[in-house]
Parts: sequence; C-alpha cells; structure tokens
Amino acid sequence: MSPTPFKGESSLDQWLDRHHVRRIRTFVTNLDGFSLGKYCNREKFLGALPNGHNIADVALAADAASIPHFTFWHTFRHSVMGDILLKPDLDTLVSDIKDNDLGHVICDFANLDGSAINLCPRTKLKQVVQAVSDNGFQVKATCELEFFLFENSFDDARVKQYQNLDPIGSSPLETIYFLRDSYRAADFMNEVIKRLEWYGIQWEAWNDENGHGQIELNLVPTEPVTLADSVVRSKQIIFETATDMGMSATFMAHPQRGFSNGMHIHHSLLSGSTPVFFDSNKPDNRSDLLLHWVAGLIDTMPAAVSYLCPTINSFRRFREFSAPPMTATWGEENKSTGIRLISKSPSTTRIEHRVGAGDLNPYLAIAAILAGGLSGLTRKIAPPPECAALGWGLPEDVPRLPRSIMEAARALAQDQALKTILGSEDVDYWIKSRRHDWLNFHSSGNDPDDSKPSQWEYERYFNIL
Amino acid sequence: MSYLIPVVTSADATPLEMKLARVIRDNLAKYQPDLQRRQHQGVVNLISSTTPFNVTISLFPDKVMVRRGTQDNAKISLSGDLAAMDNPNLSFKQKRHWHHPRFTRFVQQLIRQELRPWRVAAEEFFECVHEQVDVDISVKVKSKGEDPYFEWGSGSEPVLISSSSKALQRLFDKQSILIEEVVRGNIHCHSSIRTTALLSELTLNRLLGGL
Repeated sequence: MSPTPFKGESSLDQWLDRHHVRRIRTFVTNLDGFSLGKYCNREKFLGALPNGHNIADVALAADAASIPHFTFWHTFRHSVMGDILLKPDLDTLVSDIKDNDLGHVICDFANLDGSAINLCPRTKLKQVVQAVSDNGFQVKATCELEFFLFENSFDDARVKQYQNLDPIGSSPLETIYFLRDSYRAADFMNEVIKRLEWYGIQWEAWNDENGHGQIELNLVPTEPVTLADSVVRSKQIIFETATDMGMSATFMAHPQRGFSNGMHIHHSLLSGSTPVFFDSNKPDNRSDLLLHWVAGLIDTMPAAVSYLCPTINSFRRFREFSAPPMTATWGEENKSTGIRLISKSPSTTRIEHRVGAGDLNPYLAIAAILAGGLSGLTRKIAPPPECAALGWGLPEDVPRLPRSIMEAARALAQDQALKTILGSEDVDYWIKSRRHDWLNFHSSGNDPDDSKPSQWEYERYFNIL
Repeated sequence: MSYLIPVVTSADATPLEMKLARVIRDNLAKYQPDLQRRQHQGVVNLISSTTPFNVTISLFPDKVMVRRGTQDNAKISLSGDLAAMDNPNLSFKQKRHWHHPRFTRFVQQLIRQELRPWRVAAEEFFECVHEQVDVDISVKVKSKGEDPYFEWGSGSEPVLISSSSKALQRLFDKQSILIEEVVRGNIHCHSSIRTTALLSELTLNRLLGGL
C-alpha cells in the first residue's frame, strides 16, 4: 500500500525528514485551559498513530494543582485510575521555530480504543461546530487576546509573590493605544509575531491596552477549532517568548488593580460563502436568523458565564463602568452590553461576545457561545429589546450576570438549553469542577471579596494560564 | 409540621457560612423559636479567634441571614474558634453588649451543634447512598476496644470503610466529606476510585446542601 501524501510531501515520514523532525511535542488542553503534553521521540510517535500515545486519565480529571477530581465522576474515567490517549490531529503538525529537530502537534483526549471522549474541550467544540453545520451553517470566529507583560522574569515574579511587578510601558497612567507604551513592548511583540507567523497563526493587529503593561493581540477570523488551536498556541508562544526574554506575561483575568484581561469573541455565520447575519431587506440589515441567534445568546448568557469566566479570579473583573459587561443585554456598536452587534455591511456583520475573561478555555467558551446561539435558532425565540443606553449603572432591578464562580455554576445547572447541546454529563462534570475550585479556594483561607487577588490565585493562575 | 424559616447565605457563601447556616437551620427546626419575639431579633457578630473570617448572623422575624464580615450595629459580639465548627462543644465568649443575656443564650443555642449518635446518622447516610450508588458497604468501627462491624446494602461492588467512631461521626453527621477523611488517614475506604468519588460527592452534597 502506498503511503498517504502529507502536506505536499509523499508521506508523513517524508515531511518529518524534510523538516528534520526527530522529536514531537504533543499538546492538549484540559478543562481549565492548561496546556499539557509529552515530548515523544519520532519512532514512539509514529508507532502510536493513528490513536496516539498514553497519558493518565487524571490529565483530564484533575485541577490546576494536579489534584485528581476525587469528589465527582465521569464515565470516561477508569475506576482504578488508568490511561487514556492523546490522539494527534496531524493537520496541526508544525516544526518548531527554535528547536531544529522538534515538531508540535495538537491532540484530543481519546479513549484507549481511539474513540472520542466527549468531555475533552477540543472534541466538544468540534461536536458543537458539527451541530451548527448540521443546521446548514459554517462559523467564522476570532478572539481578542489580552495579557499583561512585565519586565520581571517568571522566577522573579514568583520570588516577589507576584506583588509590585514592573509592567512594560512608559506611562504611569492606564492609557490605551499609547504608542510610547507600545514601543516599549515592540521588541517582545516582534518576536511573538515572528513565531506566530512561523506556526501559521494569522494575526491582524496588536496594541497597547488600558491596563498597566496590558497588550491586546487580534487574530484573523477563521473556523472555530482552528481559532481555538491558534489561541492556545499563541498563549504558549507568549509564555515561551517571555521566558526566553527574561520577562513574564499572564492571561490571569485580574492580576493587579485596575483593568483586567478579557477575551472578547467575535463570530459570524455563513451559508457557503454567504454571510447570513446580514439582510439588506430587514430593518437595520438584521436577518431573522441573526435575531434568533442573539436571542439564544442572551437567554443562555448567565449560564454561559460559567465557561466564559471559569476561575475565582475571573469574577474580580466585574465592576460597573470598568469595561466588562454586567448584564445580559445587546446593542448595535455598544461596548457596554454583553453582546455588541456590528451589522453595517455583509462582510463585517458579526457578533462580539464581550463577557469572556482572559483566563477562559477557548474551546469550551466558543462551544458555549455557539451552543447558545444555536439554541436560539432552533427555538426561534426573539431577543429582548435592544439596549440603546449604557449597559452599566442600570437600575437594580435589571438582573446582573452571575458574580461568582458558584452563582455561575448554579445558573448553568438550571439551563436546559446549553445542557441539551453540550451534553448533560459533561456540563454536570464541569459544574462540579467549578465547585471543587470554589471549595479549594475557601478552604485555603481566602475571600473572594478581598480587594486584592489572593496568593492562591497567583500561584494557580499567573504563569499557568 | 416543622418550623420552616429560611436561613439565607450569600450566593458565594464559604463552606463555613454554609455549615453555620445548616446548624442554625437544624436548631431552628428543633427548637421552633418564635422569631417574632423582640428579644430574639437582632444582629450578632461572630468573631473568629483562629481565622481571618468573621461572620454576621442577622435574626429577623421572618428569616435569618448569615453573611461574611461584621456589622457596626450588632446587638452582641461573640468570639470563639469558628474554624472548629466540627466541635460539638464549641464555645463562644461574649465580647461586648453584655446586657443582652437572653438574646445571647438564644444565639448560643442556635449555633450549638448537637450531634446525633453516629449509628442513627449512619442509617440515614446509607439510605441516601443506596439510592444513588450500587455498592455493598461494610463499616468497621474501631474505638475504645470495641470493634463492631456493620454491613449495608447488596450492590455490585463491595466497599469496606474502616475508621474510629469519631471520624465516622463527622462523616455521617454532615461534618466532613469522605475523601478528606481518607486523605487525612482518619478513614480507610477500600473501594474503586469511582466509588470513593461517588460516595465523597454524596457526603459533599449533604455538607453543602447541594449546589
């Protein structure tokens, strides 16, 4: 049997030879959005194809501190603690920019027989994208990655217990788009961009963001799974670049006073190559489909917060008039509502979901958003009235989005629409994993209402997310 | 008919607040006090002598609220080891406003934990287990020279729980969760990870009163 052509070469082996790859780093994202994997020699990697190499099942069933989830259960787990697989997606295989004989490949968690594990975040997103596709539509999406960059190395930051770090930039003010701050970050970002381009990650722009040392990086819209792959790879690239340059960077949602890291997610729907959110025959060019989709997003938004703001720290972002939305509202070109609608032309009509925190898991967050939109579409529900005013400072009787990890978990537990599309067992497991984090946080002597993040949060999130 | 008065915690209440709320709920049901009576109303600061956390209990005619922090308008302040809520003999000292002896006695009665005999609690626990987990549990109790052995259920997986009666009492009386006692070495649970997780989840749900 002749070998299968691979990326312009006659076979995978040929491609590995051409790129001098002798070792492959597998890369998978767990529930909390952490990057896990192994460095495999080429023979081991090839010998394990197509199903991939073994990894302990607790890789998908443990918390940020690698403590196994001992107080809840999922049917994919082995009752005596066993192995599962990291199944490579060979389309994502790339060679390393620095390490001459290293390759990288993104994987899904899989059962030992190679079958899918529905709890796997990447698998979950693929399933939801397929569900949208089954309804006749394709999704185009992108993310705004916000992170803080410090002059301190990761080691230095740890020694200083993440306090009084030196954010990159020249202004002591919380400026935005400030070119002098951008210039201070340019060497770092030039290196990041060089690496992104090497790995085929398309970017649009980066700029100085509001917070001290905060940078925003915008990626080019693409298919959702590719986008989420690009996000996790970009975060790894930013971590590695910071490490190589003796600096530190964090996607932790709220590492310091002032502005926080968000991750706004833009998306639009296409039928073939035709944008379906835009309809010039409708008022304000908004298609019926768009309004149903928005209605689904608004209806499920309190529940989706659990996926969009997954950590204790995520909720420190939420303050009135401080950038993150506080309510399940929507409005045209309105950056103070949960949903910002942009519907002026066919090619740019899209939805910006503004609730997400910088520490979200992109696979699960995008899956929750698409599931929300899809639920509105299938139920053909209508959205609440558009919010033409500011979405902050609204009267107290306007319900606020959940303000804590447990409030969000409860909202998700009560939402049948998301459970139906995302799968009850997987949603329940996620909810219990949030309760696990919440209990862990409290039993470590911490208070979510403290004005400053706790050491527990820094140690758990600063250089891991 | 039991006396159903809501005991409210904040949405992001800590385990300690929830545990305290549960204790108050149990005692309210047990003593059925008349909160309409003025001498049973007011705000209480519970000052923790061992942790950074303080708690406020507000007693209203129609509800009781448990909140983090303290309030300036407290009728009385009690100090004690809040971290030791597992201790049935928990005692609080009155810090100020000593002129409310009746109210103080009432509050101390509300926050006192009265543990049931562990066998009674255990029966209830195992009834709850059998509804949700298909296991055959044996319990071996080792304390004060006694070594009684109990068996419950007829499920597909045998589980042996072996412990002192003190640790079992904490578990069955909704004071702790199984895996914590196992990790601390207080309880030996011979079963699969799956069953340990499911039993731990049940004990956690009982401790927190669900999500």
